[in-house]
Amino acid sequence: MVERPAGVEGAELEVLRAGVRLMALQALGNADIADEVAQETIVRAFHSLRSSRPERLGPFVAGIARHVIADIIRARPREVSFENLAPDAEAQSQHDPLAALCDEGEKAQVHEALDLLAARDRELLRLVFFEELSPSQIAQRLGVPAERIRQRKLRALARLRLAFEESADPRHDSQLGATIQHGTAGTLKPLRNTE
Amino acid sequence: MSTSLTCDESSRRSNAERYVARRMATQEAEAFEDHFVTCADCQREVRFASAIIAGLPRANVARPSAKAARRLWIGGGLAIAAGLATLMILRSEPRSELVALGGVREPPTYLGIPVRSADAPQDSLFEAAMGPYGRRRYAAAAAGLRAALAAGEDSMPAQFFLAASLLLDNRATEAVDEFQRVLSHGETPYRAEARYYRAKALLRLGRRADAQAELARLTSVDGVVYDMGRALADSIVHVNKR
Repeated sequence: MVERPAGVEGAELEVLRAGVRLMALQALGNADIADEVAQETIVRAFHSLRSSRPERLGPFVAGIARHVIADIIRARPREVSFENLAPDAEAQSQHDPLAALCDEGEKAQVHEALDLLAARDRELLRLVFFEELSPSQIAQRLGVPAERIRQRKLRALARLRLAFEESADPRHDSQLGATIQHGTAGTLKPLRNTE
Repeated sequence: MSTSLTCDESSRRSNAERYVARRMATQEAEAFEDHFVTCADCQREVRFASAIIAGLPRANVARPSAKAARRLWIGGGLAIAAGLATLMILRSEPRSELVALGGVREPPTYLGIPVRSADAPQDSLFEAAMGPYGRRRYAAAAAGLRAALAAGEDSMPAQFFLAASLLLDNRATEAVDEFQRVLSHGETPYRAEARYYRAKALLRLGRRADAQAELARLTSVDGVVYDMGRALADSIVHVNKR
């Protein structure tokens, strides 16, 4: 049987699962491991909070998540066994973990919207996201007013946002809203006992 | 310690973009995480920014420039980078295989732990240099860490991560020297890892015997690094027998 922490409703912790998972995805780039990190973090927080409640739950839980993530990174092998090299190891080494942060539907919809953008706007976004240039730096490079670059960037992002909102998985947001609204502990998943 | 963070539409977008692109300093990223873990709006912005990045290459947009691509290859190659492709192609040549064993899959982990309790100017330089390190831009990280050391930074983290950055930037000769500097300080938390990665750098230079000697200095008290060192030493013997 799982005890309820004295200061914190189980549902309050469950609300943080999506955010912790996102942190883990950003750090580790693997959806399965991110689920594990989220579960482990909530279990650890649940046990830590039996007797007292921190002033702010978010930083407290995020701190636990960082420890869990650090443990996983430390445990990772740092070299490849010569015998175990996969034929596609080179491709794997260049895999972009960022792609794991959003789901397939969101990616596909944004991809489609990107195809519909003017080539120069795609190039603008590439400069923003890959070359990490600010609108002012891009303006300088292209020899156009910075304000024009800002407007183009905003317009391009607005189109992509529209596509993203249409595809967004309602589970990502509704869980947070619904839990806050109802405030029940009923949504708490069974906790894995790590002790 | 984390600081609180503004969450309006404009800052949400900016924060999410910079977080996903790993352009935030460690403390700022942590402050953002502390916030977004309870903020559905910011989580949505993070997913949005990542969807764009994931979509850009697939939309046949020009990939990062040749220079940037090289940077990604060198730095992001989960560092096996330099060795892996060579390893795949030149599998039948023992010397090349030995050199490939000097590849590094994951860069040494930096957890963003402050160097001192109170900030000093050189610590800011250290933190600034570790930003590029986290983004796998090892040439920039090495330059920044050299600046931090020149400004009076005397901490082992700066010295160790300078050596690691040089190794990951394919500057094995310099890496060998810088790891030696770490080792010359005796018992520090970085001693074992410095030995292990110095051995890797020596392998990159084809100095098998020196690499083996370095690995032989690891002891069981070095824990997981000792295990890694033994595995590497076994691989060297195995490859050398061919």
